[in-house]
Amino acid sequence: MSGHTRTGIDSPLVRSISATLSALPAYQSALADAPPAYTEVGIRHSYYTEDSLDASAVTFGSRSRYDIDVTQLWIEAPVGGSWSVALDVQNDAMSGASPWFVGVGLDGEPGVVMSGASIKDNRVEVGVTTRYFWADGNAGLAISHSDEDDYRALSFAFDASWNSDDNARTWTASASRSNDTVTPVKERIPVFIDEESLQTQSLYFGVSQILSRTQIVRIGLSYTMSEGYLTDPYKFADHRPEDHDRWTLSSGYRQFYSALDGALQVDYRLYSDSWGTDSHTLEVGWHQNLGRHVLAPYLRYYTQSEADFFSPIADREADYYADDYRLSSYGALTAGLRWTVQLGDWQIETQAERYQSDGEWGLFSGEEAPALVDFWRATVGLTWRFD
Amino acid sequence: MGGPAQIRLVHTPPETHTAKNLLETIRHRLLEIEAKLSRYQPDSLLSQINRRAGSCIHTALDTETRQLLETCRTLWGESDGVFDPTAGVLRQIWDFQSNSIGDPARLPEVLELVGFEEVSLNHEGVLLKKNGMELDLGGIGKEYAADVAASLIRQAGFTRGLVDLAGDIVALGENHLGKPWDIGIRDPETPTQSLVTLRLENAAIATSGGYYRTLRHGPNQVSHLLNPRTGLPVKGPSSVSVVAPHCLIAGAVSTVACLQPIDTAREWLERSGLDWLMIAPSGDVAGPLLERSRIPL
Repeated sequence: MSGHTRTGIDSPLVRSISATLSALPAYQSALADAPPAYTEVGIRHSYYTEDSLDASAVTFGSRSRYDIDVTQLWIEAPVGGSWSVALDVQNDAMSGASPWFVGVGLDGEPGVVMSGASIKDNRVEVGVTTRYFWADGNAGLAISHSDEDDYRALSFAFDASWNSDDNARTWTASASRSNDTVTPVKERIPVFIDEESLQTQSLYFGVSQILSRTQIVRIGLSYTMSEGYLTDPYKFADHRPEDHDRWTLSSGYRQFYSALDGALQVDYRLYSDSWGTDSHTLEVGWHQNLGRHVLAPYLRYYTQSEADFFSPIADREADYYADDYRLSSYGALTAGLRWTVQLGDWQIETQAERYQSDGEWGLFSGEEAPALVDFWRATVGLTWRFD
Repeated sequence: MGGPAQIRLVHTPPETHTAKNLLETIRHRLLEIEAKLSRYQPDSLLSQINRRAGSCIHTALDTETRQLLETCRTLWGESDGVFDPTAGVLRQIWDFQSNSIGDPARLPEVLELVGFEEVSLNHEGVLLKKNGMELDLGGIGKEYAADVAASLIRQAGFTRGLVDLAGDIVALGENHLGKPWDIGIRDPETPTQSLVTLRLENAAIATSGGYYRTLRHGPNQVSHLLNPRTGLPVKGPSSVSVVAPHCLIAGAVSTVACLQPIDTAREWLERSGLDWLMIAPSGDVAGPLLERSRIPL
């Protein structure tokens, strides 16, 4: 209807009819903002393994690094005609060693002193999200709790998205807050704190626009502010500012090619923070439909500049200092392949990716950290939908 | 589906081939729905259900038909039995196609076959419990087909078009002039002319009325709309148009309104929370849509 029109969304009568209709495909695309018509149950397992460090980079300790097994379980179900509820549970089982500090090796070059190969930790996160749907949008409220031996986090998030009258444009906004507590386990390696806290707040606003029947573009801006203990307690030479402000501009473009029955995906992200780190991320992917199968290879390039207080061998006389390779300047490439297949009410997904980083691959100048990480990650998932 | 149908797509010249393919896809899909849900086609699923009335054999249902029957059950409950897809047997008394009246003395007997409470809908399928009962999805079938056509258009990536299945209309986006679609509401007195014109964009409209199919009973023209509880023609609105996000909802709400006296029709329409336009037998036009309509010169 041109101008303001009543949609009956407040009417129990229309909501009741809509709830019955929502199981029909003809109403699922149009009722984009309707609760899921089915209950969905899923399980996903990922295995992440970091490559061992080169012998030349290690001054002391094990060369082997982290392995992480991630198991996710979730269920999402419609409740009435306008609500959905989702429960997510995730378990991360971590083991291995991480760099403790960087010193001068026998050859005079920076060398890593490892924490030892005895670290084992387990993290369990439980989250509940409830979402309300109306004719032109939806809004969700989420609460999650994460617990591990040395870290607890309680977070709240609110998000909303709403569509333009022609459903060609969608605005999304979200806000979140997390209260974290760090209580390092002392028997592993020397630590110098008992308990510290960290508060993080984040805001996001984005918009996606359908340009034509084969093109869609999106852009979003987020701001995240952390206050509290941001230092890594398990690193010997690490003292970071207690404030961390981060800005991220993200954008994406999708182009569907009818003749090929496939879509090109290009995403770019610009990041800048108050610690002096800037980064660029560019990802290009292809989604190929093959009947019930979808194959999606992708390639991602990442580069960042080093933080103001980073140096390969930390200057512990400075106000702030760190030798953490994650704060150095470097470049990284990720190549991956996703494969999904739909078998009736079941969907199987698998994914494998290889990540490699190198100080010389970056666009920014800076000294290379000796402990840059390379890893493999493999994922298998199964999703079941039922009435 | 018992009436003229037209589908218009607004597209660029390079999209012409895709648009033609889409229209062909829609035509096939609508014929598929008709072949399944038509009571006139002896091989249809609906005819099979009707033939098994009074037996003990449930007819297995596909998801689409099951959900449409579930929707009928919801509408039957919400309308307090005014919307009843089993009321089609009343044609045995009032035959509007051949413009004749059967034996009114049989009305109590035929009314025994009306009542959605006698429809068993469970995991096995559907069963009409009494011999002689009939299901007729005429109250929502064409409107559903219009929604399906609109959905196929959206899925194909087109955002502007018009689906018009004999007056059950879905307007997508704007017309080729970049303006809302002009939709005329027929004048019940002279159905070839529009009484008012509405501007529609991303919404559906359906019109129900007793004016275009009537038969003479004594000195009176009687409406083809029959009260499922009394079996008698309804003295209700001449026409009711409803605008809703989906044509099926618009059609169901307008149909139920037309099956009631004017006062209760108005209450029902207000309860729907939708915009509506009602034309009374006296010619009076009322409803929220009137404020946004244009009276043609």
